[in-house]
Amino acid sequence: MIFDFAYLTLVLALILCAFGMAAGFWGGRLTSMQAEHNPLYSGRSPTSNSLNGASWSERLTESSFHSIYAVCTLVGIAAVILWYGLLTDQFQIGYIWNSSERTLPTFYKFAAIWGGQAGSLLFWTLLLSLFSTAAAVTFRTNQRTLMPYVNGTLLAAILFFLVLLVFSANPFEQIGVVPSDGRGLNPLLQNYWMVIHPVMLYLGWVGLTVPFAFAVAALLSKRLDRRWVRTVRRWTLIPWMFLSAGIIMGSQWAYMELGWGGYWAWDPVENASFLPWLTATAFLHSIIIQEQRGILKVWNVTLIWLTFTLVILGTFTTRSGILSSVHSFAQSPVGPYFLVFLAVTTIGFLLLLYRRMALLQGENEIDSISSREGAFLANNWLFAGIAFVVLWGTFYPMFSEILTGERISVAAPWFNRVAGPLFLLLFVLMGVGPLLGWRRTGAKALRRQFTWPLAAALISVPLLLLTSRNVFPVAGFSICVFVAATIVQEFVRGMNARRRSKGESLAVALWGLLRRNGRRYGGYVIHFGIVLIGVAIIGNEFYQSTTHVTLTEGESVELSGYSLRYVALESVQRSNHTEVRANLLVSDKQTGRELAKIFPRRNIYDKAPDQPTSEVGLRMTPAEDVYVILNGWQGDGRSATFTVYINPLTMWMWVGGLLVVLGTVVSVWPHPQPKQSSRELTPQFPEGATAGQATA
Amino acid sequence: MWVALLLICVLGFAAVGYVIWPLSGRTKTTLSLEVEEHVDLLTRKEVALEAIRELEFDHSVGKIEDGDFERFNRILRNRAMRLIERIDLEYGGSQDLGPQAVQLNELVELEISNRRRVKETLPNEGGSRSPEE
Repeated sequence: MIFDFAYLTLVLALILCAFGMAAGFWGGRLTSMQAEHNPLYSGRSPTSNSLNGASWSERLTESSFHSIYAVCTLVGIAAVILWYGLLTDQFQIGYIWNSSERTLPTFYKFAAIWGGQAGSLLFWTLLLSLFSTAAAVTFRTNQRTLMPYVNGTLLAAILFFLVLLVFSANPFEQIGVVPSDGRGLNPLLQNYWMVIHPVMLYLGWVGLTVPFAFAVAALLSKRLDRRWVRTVRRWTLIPWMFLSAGIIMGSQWAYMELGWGGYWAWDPVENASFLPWLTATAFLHSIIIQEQRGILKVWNVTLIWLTFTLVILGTFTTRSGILSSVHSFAQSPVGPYFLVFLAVTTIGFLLLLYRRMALLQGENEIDSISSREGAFLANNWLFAGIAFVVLWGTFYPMFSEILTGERISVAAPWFNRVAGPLFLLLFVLMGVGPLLGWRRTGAKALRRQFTWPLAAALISVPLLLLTSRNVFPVAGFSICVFVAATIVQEFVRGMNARRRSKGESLAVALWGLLRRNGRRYGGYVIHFGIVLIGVAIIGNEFYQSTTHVTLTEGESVELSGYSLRYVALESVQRSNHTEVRANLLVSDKQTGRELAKIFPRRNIYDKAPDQPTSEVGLRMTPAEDVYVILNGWQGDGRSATFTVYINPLTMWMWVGGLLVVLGTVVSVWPHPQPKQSSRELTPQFPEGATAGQATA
Repeated sequence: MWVALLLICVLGFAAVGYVIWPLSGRTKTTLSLEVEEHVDLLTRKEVALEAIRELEFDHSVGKIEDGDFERFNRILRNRAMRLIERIDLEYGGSQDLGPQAVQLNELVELEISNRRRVKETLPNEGGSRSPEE
C-alpha cells in the first residue's frame, strides 16, 4: 500500500511540476514585458495588471516558487519510502529485489538507492529538487526578473526526470510475489568509496543545472549583463567541487577495487563525468573575464549549456547501454527519453541564443595577449580542445559502427597521446596566468614575474634527468615545478605586500590573503592541488614497474627494491560474502627490513559467486605504492598468482584532490564585503508607490 | 490500494492548494521588488571598484608597470565616478558617505576604503537580504 502511495506522490509531483514550470515561464514573460514597457517597474506599479494588489506576474512567479517547494517535498516523501523499503527488505518491490538482500550490511542497503537504474533516477530527482529549493530560497528576494525563468527551467529539468520515473523507470513497481530474499547489490558497488563517490558525482552533475537555469533565464529575460555571471559563480564552484571530489573518489575506487593497476582508464563512464568537469572548469575561468571586462558573453552561455548537455549525455551514456563500461547500467528503455530531452534542450537553447545574439556583443576587447584575460582565453581553448578529444574518443566506437559497421574502440594510450600534450600546455598556462595582471603586463613586469619560477623549473631539469632520459616526464615534472613556484611566489609576494602596507606578521598576512581575497588565493590552492595530481599522473605513467608472478608459500618476488614473500592464503566468512586473502610480507630488498604486511584479496559473494571482486593489497607511502592484485590460487592456496605494481607518487593524487576541495571552500567562503550605504540598498518602489510587504 | 488513493487525495488536495493559492492574490509574499536598472548600476559599480582594488594589488606585487597602472587606474576610476554619479542622480543622494558637497573622486576613494574594512553580502552574490533591510 505504502509503495502505491509513493508512486502516486511521484505522479502528483509530475503534475505540479508541469504546472509550476508553465507558471514560472509565463510569470517571467509577464515580468519581462512589464519591465520593458516601464524600466522602473518594480512589480507593484499602479499600471500593472493587478487584482487584490498583486499583478499576475507576481502571482504566477510566487506559484512557481510554491511548486518547487511542493515538488521537493513530494519527491522527498517518495525517496524516504524507498529507503524504508530497502532497509526493511520489502522484496515485493522489483527494484529492492534486484538491488538488495537480507544479509547486505545496512550501510549498503542505504546506498542501494543509487545502486540501480530507477532508484538512482529517484535520487537524482531528489537532489535536483533540493538544489532547486536552495536556489529558490536564496534568490527569492533579489532576482526579480530572472527567478521566474530560473524556476521554470529547474522545474523543466525535474519534470523530465519525473516523466522517466513515472512512465519508464518506476522504482516502486511490484513483481507480484514476495520473494524470500533479494538478488543482492552488484558486488562491485559493495565498497565504501562506491557508497560516497556516486553521491558526490550526482551533487556535482545536478548542481550544475542551477547555473544553466540562470543562463537560460538571462537569455529569456534579456538581462545579459554581468549580474547573472556574478550570481552563478558560487553556484558553479560548489557543484564543481563535488564533481571534482566525485571524480577523485571514483579514481580511488577504481584503484582499490577494479584491479587495473591504476586509477584512470579512460573508461566511457569515467569520461562521462570528466567531460562536464572540463567545460565547467573552462566556464569558471571565462566568467571571470566577462565579469571583469564584459566580453565572452556568447562563449559563457554556450559553455554552461554544453556543461549541462554533457551531464545529460553522460547520464544517457551510463543508462542507455550504447557504450560498454564497467560502471554502466544494463541496456534499459530510458535511452530514447534522454535523446528526446537532449534534442529539445539543444534546439531550444540554440534558437534562443540565435535570437539574443545582438544582445551578447562584448563591451570591450582584449588589450593585450600578455594579460590575464589573454591567458584565460587560451586556457578556454585548451579546455574546449581536450573536451572535444575526450568526447570524440568516447563516442568513437559508436561513430565507427555507424560509418563502417564495425565497432572500434580507442584505448587509454590513444587518449594519453592526444590529450596528454594538451594537458601539458594547460599546465604551462596554469603557471603563466597568475603571473599576468589584467589588461596588460609590460616587458619589465614580465621579467620580474617570470624570473624565479623559470629559474626553479630550469634548475629542476638536470635533477630530473638523473631519474629518466625520457623527455616527456622531465618536461612534465619541470612544468609542475614551474607552476608550483609561481604559486609560492604569488603567496610570498601577496604576504609581503600586506606586511608592507599593514605591518602584519607572516601568519596574519597569510590569513588576511585567504580571508580578504579568497577567490584568488583559493584558486591558487586549487591549482596547487592540480599540480600534485599532475605529479602523481606523470609518476605513474612513466615510472611504474610491474610483474606477474605465481608464488608458492614461502617464496618471494623482487621488484624495484622491494621483496614480497607469500606467507599463506586465508579465508574469512563475512555476512554476505567470503573473503579469500593472501598474506604477503613486504621487505626492503637491500636490508631485508620488514616494511609491511599486505593482504590482496578476492571477495566471493553468496549471490554472485561467478563475479568475484578484487581488493588490492597496498602499502602507500609518499614516494610510491606497493600494489598487489590477487589473480587466483591453486587448490588449497599453497600457490597463488599475483600482479605486483610499484606505483610512484600515487599518494599525491589523493592529497591533490583534498587540496582541490579545500581551495574551493576557501574560494566560496564569504569574505568581508563593503558596508553598503543606504542609497545602495535597492529602492523598492518608484516614487509614489507604497512600500511594505506585498500581497500577491 | 484504496487507503493509498485516499491518502494521496488528501496529500494532493493540500499540495495543489498550496501551489495555486498564490494565484488568488491573497498570500503574503516577499518577492523581490528591486528596480533592475538600479541593481545593474550597482553591480557595474561594484565590478569597477573591485577592478580598482585588483589593479592596485597587482601593481603592488609588481604585475603592472607604473605607466600602465596610472592609465588603467584613471580609466577605472572615471568609470566608477560616472556610475556613482548616475546612481546618485537617478536613485538618490550619498547621505551615508559624507556631506552632500563631497566631490565624486572623493566618493570613489571613500567607497574603495569602505571596501577595505567591512562586512555584508552583496545584493548579487546570493545573499538573501530582503528589500526591507
